[in-house]
Amino acid sequence: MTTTSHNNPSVSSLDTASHEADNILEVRGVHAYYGSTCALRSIDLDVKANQVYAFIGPSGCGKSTFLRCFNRMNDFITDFKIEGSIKYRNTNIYHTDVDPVLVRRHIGMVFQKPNPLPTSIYNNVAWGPKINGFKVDFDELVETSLKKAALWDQVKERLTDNGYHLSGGQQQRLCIARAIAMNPDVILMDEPCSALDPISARKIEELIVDLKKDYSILIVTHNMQQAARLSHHTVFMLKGEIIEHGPTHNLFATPQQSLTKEYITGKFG
Amino acid sequence: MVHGEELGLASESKSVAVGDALPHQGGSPGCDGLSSVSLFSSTDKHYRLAKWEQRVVMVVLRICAWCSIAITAGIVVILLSEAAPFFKEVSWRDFLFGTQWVPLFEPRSFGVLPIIWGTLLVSVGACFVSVPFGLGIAIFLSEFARPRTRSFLKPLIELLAGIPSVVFGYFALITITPGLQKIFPNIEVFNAFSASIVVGIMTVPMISSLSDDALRAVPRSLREAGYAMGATSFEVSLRVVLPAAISGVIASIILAFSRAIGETMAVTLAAGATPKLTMNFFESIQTMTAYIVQVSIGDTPHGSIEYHSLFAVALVLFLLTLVMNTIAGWVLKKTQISYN
Amino acid sequence: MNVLSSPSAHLRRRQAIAKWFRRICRFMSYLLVGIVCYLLWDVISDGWHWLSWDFFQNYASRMPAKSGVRAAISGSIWVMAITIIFAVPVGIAAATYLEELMEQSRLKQFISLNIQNLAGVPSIVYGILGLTVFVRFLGFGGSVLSGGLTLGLLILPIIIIATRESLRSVPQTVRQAAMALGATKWQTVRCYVLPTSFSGILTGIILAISRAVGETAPLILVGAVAYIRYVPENPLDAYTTLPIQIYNWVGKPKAEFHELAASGIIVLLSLMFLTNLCAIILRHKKQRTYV
Repeated sequence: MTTTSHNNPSVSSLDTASHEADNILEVRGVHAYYGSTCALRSIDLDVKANQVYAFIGPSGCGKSTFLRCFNRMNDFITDFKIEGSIKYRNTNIYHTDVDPVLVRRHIGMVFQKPNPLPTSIYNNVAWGPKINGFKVDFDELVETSLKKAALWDQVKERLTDNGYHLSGGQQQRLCIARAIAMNPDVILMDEPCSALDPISARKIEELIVDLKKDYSILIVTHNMQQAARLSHHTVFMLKGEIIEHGPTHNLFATPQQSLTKEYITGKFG
Repeated sequence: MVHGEELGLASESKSVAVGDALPHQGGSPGCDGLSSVSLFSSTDKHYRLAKWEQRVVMVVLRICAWCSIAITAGIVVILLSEAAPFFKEVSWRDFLFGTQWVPLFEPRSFGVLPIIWGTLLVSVGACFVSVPFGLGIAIFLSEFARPRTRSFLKPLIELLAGIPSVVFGYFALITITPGLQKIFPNIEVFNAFSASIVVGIMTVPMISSLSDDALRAVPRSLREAGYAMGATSFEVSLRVVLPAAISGVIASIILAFSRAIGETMAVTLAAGATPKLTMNFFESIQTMTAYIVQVSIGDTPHGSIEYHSLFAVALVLFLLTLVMNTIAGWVLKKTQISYN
Repeated sequence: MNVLSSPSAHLRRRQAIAKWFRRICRFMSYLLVGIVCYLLWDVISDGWHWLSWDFFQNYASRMPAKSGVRAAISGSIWVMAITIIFAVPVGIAAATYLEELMEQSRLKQFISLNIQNLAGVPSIVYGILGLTVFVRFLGFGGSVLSGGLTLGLLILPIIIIATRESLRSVPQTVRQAAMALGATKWQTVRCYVLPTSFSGILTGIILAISRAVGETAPLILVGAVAYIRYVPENPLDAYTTLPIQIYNWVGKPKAEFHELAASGIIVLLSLMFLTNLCAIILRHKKQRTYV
């Protein structure tokens, strides 16, 4: 089975019985540092394909740092250092032969603040696939991606408009469409709703519910209700460590750790 | 596996310490391991093209960035090597401490002090104009001016910074000197006084805009603290805001001074070509820059001692401004530290 | 009640000082503007009546009535063309490399410091550099090429600093967005960072060029000649420029030549005013927000 070609939807081809139970991401013994400050401490985690993982915890607990480790976005921080391994489909993405640029083609990301590229709506979606040499009909790709992101109907008349002319919620959906167009295996979402008003936030949340059929989604959220509604698994982090993780229902109903219990009942954070 | 793929992106990989979990890679059974490796060290044509493009571009851009080093090296090497023949004939002691600068006629004498003195005379004189005006304007702009006043005054003063120095030379020689002659009949046609005035006006924008930036960087809360204690606006700006921004202000004055030292056309036109050690602003003097212009306009034979003296003087000029700029940079750096 | 409404003598004095201080600061500001306006007005009134079509058509001459700036203007244009061709691409490239692509290191700090220092080197020192390298070593002589390259070196640090500043104003989120799509750094810079900061870069370049247009001292060293009776036709021709022409006219004893210099100054300043206006308009246009 090959996963190198970008043109055919690799998600469906990978979604075979033999791989269903496989871990798409395996985190082993990850420590991360900003300079001398330790941001993540001995993290182990398995991420199964086509599941939604929510990361919760108080501000500064390292959940965003952790999320950004999966597509090596932390590389741009000069004094950032990471130890341990994160394997994506059995390859350590931190191996020296691995180019972070290629990692990001398979693991997409949606940021906290909507950040459209300063170009037209069409180019926002089509640019990623173009520079990565997709040999597809780009008009069609833009249309399907925008449809998946529930934005097509609102923008189909003005695809040449600048992405910044959209409202905040629409911008965020554009960013999701942009990530989808790359046909990633995994989508990382860093508090995608936190910079939006409640109505836009709910729309994005509905969109995530739709998307979880097709992608593995790792989402960082402040909002515990959101974690409960969206995810299959929840990971609770504190001070750079994973305190507890498990199926969402279990974690919220019967937390094993007292810290988890205190956090989800609102005693701190 | 394509090795060295990360060459172009060295910055991305270098900061990453790689864990120990990898060596088993080859041992994993069958196609699984292979296919996943090819996921990353891609043989995909498009990707390799992008990588190549980046690598080529990086080489070109890096060369351009090195240009700046080459310019500095060029300046230093040229000044030193071309001044060397001069120092073979004139000892550096005579050069630095001699009080007679007679480079073009016999008997020659190459004591650089008179033209250094001329330069400093004009620069210090310029400071008497630029510092009060520059600081007054900076304080007015940052503390008292209404936003509308500020929005036209600031660009106006920045526009002043764009006026070429030859134009200031015209002002000094044609407008200011005749005017001064009416007030002080004993003033010479070429004099340090009018040169100082125009060089001062020229450097006002430097002091005012840099100091304005420094004053505006002082947090609002500091001003409010002052006013809350019952201080007047005078006390707040002079006792609270100015001390807080003092390094930026001092740096701006040093930079303006250094600019005045290197200023050429206005002093060449207005201050004359008579190197002498004098305190009298009404007399004609000569600055280092004016000397360089004087020699290069005349038909100085290449290789003669006058020609090489050009480089010796330029070397002094270069070192003097370099020291000034370094001090200014050092003073400025101190602000940044104390504010963050 | 009384406590708040009747200030003590001491306070009254402090208030008076504050009032006078504000007045003095305001006075200083307007006085400077006034002085400069007076000087400009003086130039305009001196030079106005020489401005005619002939003034732009004539070459320099010993007779004031037949003098003009044709050679000077064409020389200035030639020199600027070479300056731009050299300094703009190199400046943008160097700034892009330093700001976007180079990793943080001692070397980067060193180069940045070096560029800062170069921007403070007196322009006449660049003239000496040009004299040695272009005029003598490379044998270009006192040609347009030498002059253009010398001014190019002079404004290179200014362009680099301005470009870096406007690159820095592109929000980090744009870069992250592109990189997260699997773009290389260069693709990100080429497709988004450079186009976004384009107007800022252009503003910086225009300001640098307007500095170069007025530059006189380095050109005297690299052999710009004032008495030229033709328009340069190739980069190795001798030339004169507008500021050099002005300098020469100011230095002549006859009063008519001073008036000619004033006319030359009017032409030069209006040229610079126009370029500065372009820069200001561009700066306003640039103010686009990233919400």
